[in-house]
Amino acid sequence: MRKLIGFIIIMQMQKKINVHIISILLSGIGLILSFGCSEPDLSDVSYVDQKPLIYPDYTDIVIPPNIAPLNFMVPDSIDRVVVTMRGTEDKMKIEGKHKIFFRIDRFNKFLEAHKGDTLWIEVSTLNRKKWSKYLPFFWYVANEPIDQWLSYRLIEPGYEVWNKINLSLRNVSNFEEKVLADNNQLDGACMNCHIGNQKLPGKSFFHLRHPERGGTIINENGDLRKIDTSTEGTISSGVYGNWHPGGRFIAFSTNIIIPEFYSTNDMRMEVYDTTSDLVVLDIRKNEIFSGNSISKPGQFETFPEFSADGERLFFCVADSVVLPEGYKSLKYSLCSVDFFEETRSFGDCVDTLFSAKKHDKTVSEPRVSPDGQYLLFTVFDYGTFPIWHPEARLNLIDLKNGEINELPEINNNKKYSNSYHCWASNSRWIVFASKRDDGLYGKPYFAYIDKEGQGHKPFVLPQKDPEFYDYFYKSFNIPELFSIQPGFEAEDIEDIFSMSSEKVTPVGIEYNGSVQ
Amino acid sequence: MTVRLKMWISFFKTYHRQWFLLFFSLLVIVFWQFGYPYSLFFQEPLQLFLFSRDYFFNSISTAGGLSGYLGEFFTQFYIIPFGGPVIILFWLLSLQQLFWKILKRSVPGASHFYILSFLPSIWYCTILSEEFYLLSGLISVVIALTGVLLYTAIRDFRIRSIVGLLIVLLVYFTAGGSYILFVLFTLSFEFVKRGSSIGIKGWLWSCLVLEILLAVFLPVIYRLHYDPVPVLQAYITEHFHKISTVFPFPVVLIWILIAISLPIVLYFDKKIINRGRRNTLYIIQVAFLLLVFLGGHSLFANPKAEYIKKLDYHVRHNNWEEIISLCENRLPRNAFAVNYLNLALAKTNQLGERLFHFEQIGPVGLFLPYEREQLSAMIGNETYYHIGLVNVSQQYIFEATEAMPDLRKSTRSLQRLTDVAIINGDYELANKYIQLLKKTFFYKDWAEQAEDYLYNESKINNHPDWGEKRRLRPIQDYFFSVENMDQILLALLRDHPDHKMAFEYLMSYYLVRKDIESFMKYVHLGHEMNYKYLPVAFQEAVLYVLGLKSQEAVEQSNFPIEERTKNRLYEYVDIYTRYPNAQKLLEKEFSDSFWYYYHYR
Repeated sequence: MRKLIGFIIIMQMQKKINVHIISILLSGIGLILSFGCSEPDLSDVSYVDQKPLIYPDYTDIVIPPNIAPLNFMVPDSIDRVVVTMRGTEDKMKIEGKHKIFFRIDRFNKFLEAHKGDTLWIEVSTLNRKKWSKYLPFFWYVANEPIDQWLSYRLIEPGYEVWNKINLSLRNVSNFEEKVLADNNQLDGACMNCHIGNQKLPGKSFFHLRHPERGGTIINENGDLRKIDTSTEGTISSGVYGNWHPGGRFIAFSTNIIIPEFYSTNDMRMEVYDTTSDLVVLDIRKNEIFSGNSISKPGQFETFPEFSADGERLFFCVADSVVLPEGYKSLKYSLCSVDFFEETRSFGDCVDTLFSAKKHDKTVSEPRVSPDGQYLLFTVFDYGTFPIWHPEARLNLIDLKNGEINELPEINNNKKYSNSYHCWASNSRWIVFASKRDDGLYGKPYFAYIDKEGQGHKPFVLPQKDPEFYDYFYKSFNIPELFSIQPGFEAEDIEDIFSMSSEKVTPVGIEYNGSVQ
Repeated sequence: MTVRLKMWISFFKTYHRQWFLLFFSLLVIVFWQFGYPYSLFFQEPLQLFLFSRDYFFNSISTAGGLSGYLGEFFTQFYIIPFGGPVIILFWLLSLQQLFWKILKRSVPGASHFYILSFLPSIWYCTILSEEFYLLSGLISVVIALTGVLLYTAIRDFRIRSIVGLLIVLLVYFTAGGSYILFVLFTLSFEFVKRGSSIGIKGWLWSCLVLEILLAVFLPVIYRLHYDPVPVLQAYITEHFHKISTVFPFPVVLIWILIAISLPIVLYFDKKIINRGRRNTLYIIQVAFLLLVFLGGHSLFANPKAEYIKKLDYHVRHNNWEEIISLCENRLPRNAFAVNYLNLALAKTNQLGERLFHFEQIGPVGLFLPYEREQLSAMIGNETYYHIGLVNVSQQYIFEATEAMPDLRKSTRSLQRLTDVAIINGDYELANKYIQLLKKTFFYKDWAEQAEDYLYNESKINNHPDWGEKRRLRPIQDYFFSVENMDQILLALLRDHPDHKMAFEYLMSYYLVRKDIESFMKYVHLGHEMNYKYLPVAFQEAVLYVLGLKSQEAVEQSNFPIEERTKNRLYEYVDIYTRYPNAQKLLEKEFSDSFWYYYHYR
C-alpha cells in the first residue's frame, strides 16, 4: 500500500497528472480496504418509490453518443453505491463509495453501441447497513453527436475587476482541457467572446482588451491576426460579434457600456449601453462599414448575427431612453435586415421577429442554427445584459413561420439566468451558460433540440470528479462549440499579443459622438 | 578587573553561541510580538489554506509548490497569539543553523564568523515585516540550504557533482527560485574548495557547466512543457512575494550573500584572524548585523500600517471601544483609520456626539470609495456591511478578492461573502463558501455553525448579526454610487425610518461636507430616533444655522437642544467675533465642535 501511495506521489511530482486520477485511485483503495472484493448483497433490499438524488442531475436526459462519462455522486452520507446501466445490447455495473466513475473507453463504447436507444440507470445505495434501490432513470442516446470541442472563458463572476482569466478548450468526449489564452501570459489583458464560424469551423475570433496591445484576434486555421477594430468613425472597437458564413465578414456591435450596481439582493449588476450601433468588419480588406438600417440615430442596435445563408443580418434594437433613470424601460426587439455581400450593403426594410413592445420583454444574443431553421435567443424583463437577470430564459423562433417556442424543458430552473448559448454544427445540440445551481457561478449546460424544435432537459458539462463544481469558483463564460480544434495554442496568443495590431479603415461611417 | 567580572567574561566566552542564539530569539520575539503583531494577524486571514488532498497535490505540483504549501500551512497559525512570532523564529533559526553548519563545513576558520551566520536571518526577519513578502520565501531558502548541506557533506566530488544536478531539480520543484541560491553556492563552494591546487577541470568542470545549463534552461522547459507561466515567474516562482510580477530583490540579495560568504570569510580569515585581530572581527560583525537590522527595519517595516492593522483587527473582532480608545491616544489621519474610527463611533452610538472630537477628513472618512485595489475595498466593505448595505459590502469584498495581489482567495473574504449570502437567503451560494471554509483548520467551527443556519429563516432572523442586517437591508431597488451616498442613505432611511446608524451617518456626511442646507433639510428625520437631545455635533450645526438668524431663533428653537450647547455657542460667537486671533483662542475649548470644523478645517 505504501509503495502504491508513494508511486502516486512521485507521479504527481514528476508530472502534473490530474489530481482526480489520484482521488479515483485513493477512493478505489479505500473501497477495497472497506469492503474487500465482495459483491454487494442486494437480496435484502428495500425499494424506494422515487428516483435517486444524484449530483449533477443527470436523470432522464437526452445525451450525445460522444459525451464524456457522466460521473455522478449520491449524498456523501451513503456508505456504498451500486449503479447498473442497462441497454438493449449490454449492461454495465459500477460501484463506488458515494461517487460513480465510469471508465472512459467503456462508457464511450457503450454509448456508441446504443445510439438511438434508451439506457436505464438503476441506483442502489447502502446506508446504515441497509440497501435501498431507487426507481431507474433514463439516458436516451441521440443519434447525433455533439461537436467535440467546447471553448469557454473561465473567470470569477465579479463586478469590474478580475485577476485570473483564461480561454480554455475542453474535449467534451473526455475530460481533457487546455488553455487557449491566459491573461497571466498577456500582461493581465482581459479576453472575451471566443466565437467560431459554424460553416467554416477553422475560423474563430476573440477580443483581447489591453490599453496598448489589445485587439481582436482572428484565427483562420491557426493563422492569427490581431486587428484593431476601433476607428474614429465608430463608437468603440468591436464588442459583440458573429461571423458571416462566408468567412470574410464579421458583424460587430460598437457600444459604450455602463455597469451599475444594485442595492437589493435580487441582482448584482445592470450593464447597459448608452449608445450602440452595428458595423461589419471586412477581414479581407481591413475595412469597416455599416448601413443606415443598422445604425439609426435614436436607436440602440446590438448583438448582430448573420443568417445561415449569409443573406440576412439579425440584431437586437431598442429605442433610446434616458439612462440610467429609464433603465427598466430599455427593451430590445429582435429584427432582421437583408445583407448584400457583393455590394457590402444592407436593405432598407427592417423586419421585426420579436417585438419588445408586444411582449413587454427584451431580447439579446440571437444565434441562428447552422441549418438555418431556428433562431435561439434570450428573453428577459429589460436591458441588454441578461446574465444577472434571474428571469432570463432561452426562446426559439422557427424562422419558417415565426413561431416562438418558450422551451419549458430547457428553462426548467425556477430562477437564475440562462444565456450565452451556441449551436452545435449539426443543429441538434445547444450549449448555454446557466447560473441555475447557485445563482452566481455560470456552468455550461447542454440540451438536445429535436427536429421538431422541441427542447429537452439540459445537463451540465460532465467532469471527471462529480464533486468538481462544488469546489470550483469560476464561471464558464460564453461557451462555444467547435467541431474542430481552433488551431492555436496559448503560446501563439502570447506571440501575437506582443505584435502591433492591423488597422482598419472605416468606409462611409460617421459617428457624431453623441451619447444618450 | 575583578574576579567576578572575569568569571562572567569567561562564562560568556564559553557559551557565547548560546548567548547569541538567546539574544537573537529574544530580538525576533520582541520584534514581532511587541513591534508588529498586527501585521501577522492581518496576513493570516488573507490566505485560504485547505486541509485537503486535492489542495496538497495541486500546491506541490508547481515549481516551488512545497515551500508555498508549507508557508501557507504555518501562516495559518498566525491567528494564535504568539503563534506568528514563534513560527517565524523557528524558520529564522533554521536558516541560521543551516548557514552556520555550511560555513563551518566549508571554511576551516569559520568559527570566528559565527555572528555572521545570523546575517541572512536578521535580514529576512526585517523583510517579512513588509506584508507582501511571504513566509514561504524563507522556507524556500531553508530548503535550498538543506540541499547545500547535503551537497557539501559528500566528499567524493564525482558523486557530489552528480548529486548536485539532482538537487538542482529537487530544489527547483520544491522550493522554486531558491535553486539559484543552491547553484550559486555550489559554484562558490567548488571554487573555494578546489582553489588553485587541483584546479577545476574534467569531470567536475563538466558537471558545473551542466549545472549552470540546467539552472538556465530548467525554467524554460518548465514553462514550455509544464506550466505556461511568465518568464520571471518561471525562474523566481511566486512564493517569495505576493505579487508574482515583482522581482524579490531583497531575497535575491540573500541568495547572493550566502553564495559569496565563502570567499569573503576566507579573505577575512587570512587578513584579520591571522593577524590576531579577533576582537575587531567580532565587533565588525555585531556592528554589521545591527546596521542590517536597522536598515532592513527602515526599508521594510511600516509602523503607520501597523496602526491601521491594529484597528482592522479590532474591527474584525467588534472591539469598538478599543478602537475609540486607540484613536484617543493617537489621532487617526489616514482615510482607512478615520473610516474605522467613525464606524466604531457609530456602533457605540457616539458618531453624532463625538464626530468632531477627532480630525475629520471629509466624506472619505465615512465611506471609502472603491479604488480597484484590495485594501480600500476590503476595509471599505466593513462600513457598508454594518450599516446594512450588504450588497455593497458584497461588491467591495468580492472586488477585494479579485484585487488580491497573489490572485487567491482568503478566509476573510469567504466569511464575509458567506455572511451576505446568508443574509440575502442565497443558501446554495452560502453553502458553496461554507464547504470551502470547512476544509480549513481555524474556520471550520465557524463554517459548521453557519451551515446550521442554512434554510432556517427564523434562526437567521434571531442571529445577532445576520438577523440585524436582514432587518436593515434596503427594500427599494436603486443603483449604488458612492458619489451619491446621501441619496443612498436617504433611501435606506425611507425603508427604515428608525435606522439610527443610517441617520447619524447621513447627518455626519452633510456636516463633514459643510453642506448645512442639506443637513437642515433632513435633520428632522431624527424625530424617529427617539433622541432626548440631538447628538451634540448635530445640535451645534442646528444652532449655527439658527444663530445666523438671531438669538431669539436660538432660544425659541423646537429642536431638542441642551442649554449647555447654547451657552457654548454664545461663548464661541463672542470669541469668534471679537478677536482677530480667534482661531488660536478657540482651539483649546472648541476644536471638538462643528463650529470650529466649519470655520477652520
